[in-house]
Amino acid sequence: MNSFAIACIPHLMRVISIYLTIGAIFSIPFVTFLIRFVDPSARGLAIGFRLLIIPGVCIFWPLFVWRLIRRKQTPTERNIHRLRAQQNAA
Amino acid sequence: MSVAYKSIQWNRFKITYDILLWVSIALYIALFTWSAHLMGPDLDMRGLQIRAYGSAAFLLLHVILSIGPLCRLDRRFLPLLYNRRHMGVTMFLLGLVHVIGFNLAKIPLLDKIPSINKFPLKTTGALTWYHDFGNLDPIVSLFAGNTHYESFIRFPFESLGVIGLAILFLMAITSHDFWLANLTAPIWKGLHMLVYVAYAALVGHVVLGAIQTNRHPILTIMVGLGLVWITAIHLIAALRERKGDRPVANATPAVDNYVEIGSISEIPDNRAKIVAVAGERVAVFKYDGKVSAISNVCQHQNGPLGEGKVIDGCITCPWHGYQYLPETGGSPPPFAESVPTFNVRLEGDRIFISTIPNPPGTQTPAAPIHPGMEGRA
Ligand code: FES
Repeated sequence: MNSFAIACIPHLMRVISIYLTIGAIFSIPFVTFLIRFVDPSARGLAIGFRLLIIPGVCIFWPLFVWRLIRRKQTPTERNIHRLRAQQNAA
Repeated sequence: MSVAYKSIQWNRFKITYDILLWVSIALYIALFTWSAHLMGPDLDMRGLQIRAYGSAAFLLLHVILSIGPLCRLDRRFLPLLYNRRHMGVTMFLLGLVHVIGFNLAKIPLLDKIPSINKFPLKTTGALTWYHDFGNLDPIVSLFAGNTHYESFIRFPFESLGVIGLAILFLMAITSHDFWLANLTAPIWKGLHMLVYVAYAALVGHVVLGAIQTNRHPILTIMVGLGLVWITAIHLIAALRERKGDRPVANATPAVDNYVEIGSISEIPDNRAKIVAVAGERVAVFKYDGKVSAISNVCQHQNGPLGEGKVIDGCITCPWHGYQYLPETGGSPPPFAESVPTFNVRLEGDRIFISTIPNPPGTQTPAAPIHPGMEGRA
């Protein structure tokens, strides 16, 4: 057994669990009402959908906090045709 | 506005498919434990169950990795592609059971049902079986038990398994369309491409696990065969795809920014020819006596629009049915999706399209096919 690893791993686990706990707390207001500010496709009750995305929100919560603060919505993908069309229009 | 999210898009076909999938997995696990028990009656049942779930997940991973290239080689495999996400989530759950085990009577809420103990559905996970003894936390024991990261043969195969499972976990929790839209398709695809890293880690996990625990070499040979199969079909499909993807821009040099892409007669009515122009595929549709061209990439999940049909005057994506008007590239109201369009010109029966895409939603007149044009060189 590696004593350094034994000492480090619990700390690492604590950091991860704090991060996930913040995500879990954030996910409750997010899936209930904040979600419609970032993605207009999240309409209606759709309880199953809202529950289903909670694990992901626990991980990716900083992304949604950022979008909510910047008042940004789901972006449209920028593929090469869209980029070229944009350049040519400009 | 776009389509509102639903939890799981089950239809009759998908339900049948999922039932088939789960029944086959249950049969495999039963058969694995039963035959292994027959061959070695003194082997511990719990150890066998851990291997049964682990190997089921690993086999399923092979199936999942084969679906993409098989679909590119033969369109008849496409229905499997539309159901791949359910397979992926099932695979993650199998891997999870392999690690932490499963006990029906201990699942929150289910444990409140008094008669739940009548269903002794439980299995031990590798974490409890190999690491839950002594006074060390099983997770700490898992990572600190073997730290021979410098050695090849003694490399901690458990860590490789953890990497594999962590990737499968990320993929499973982001499998809903919501994630595709919110992480954007390139990031989502990149994340899901990590499945190949997971595969490499899991090959290492299985092979090193077998070497370190002195198993029979047959396991290593089988993993090797699997690896050869996965590599071979990916290579064949990639070669086939490259052949069809030669940009027309190279074949016929562009004159005043138009390239010739073929003839009217080679496109069936209400269908498209797909060509690579301006660095991406373009779908050139023939319908109602006209020809229009739009970017081949559906705004929803990058489905291949050129493999769809014109239905009720709209180009309909073959994947989930999003529709676009051929002359604007925009979805009919109230929907707001749109894709870039391309100017089209006809000379005799030859089709020329502009190499400069128009911004999504731009009104782009279709090129009318005059009588006698078709079939005239
Ligand atoms: S990719 Fe889903 S409808 Fe086109």
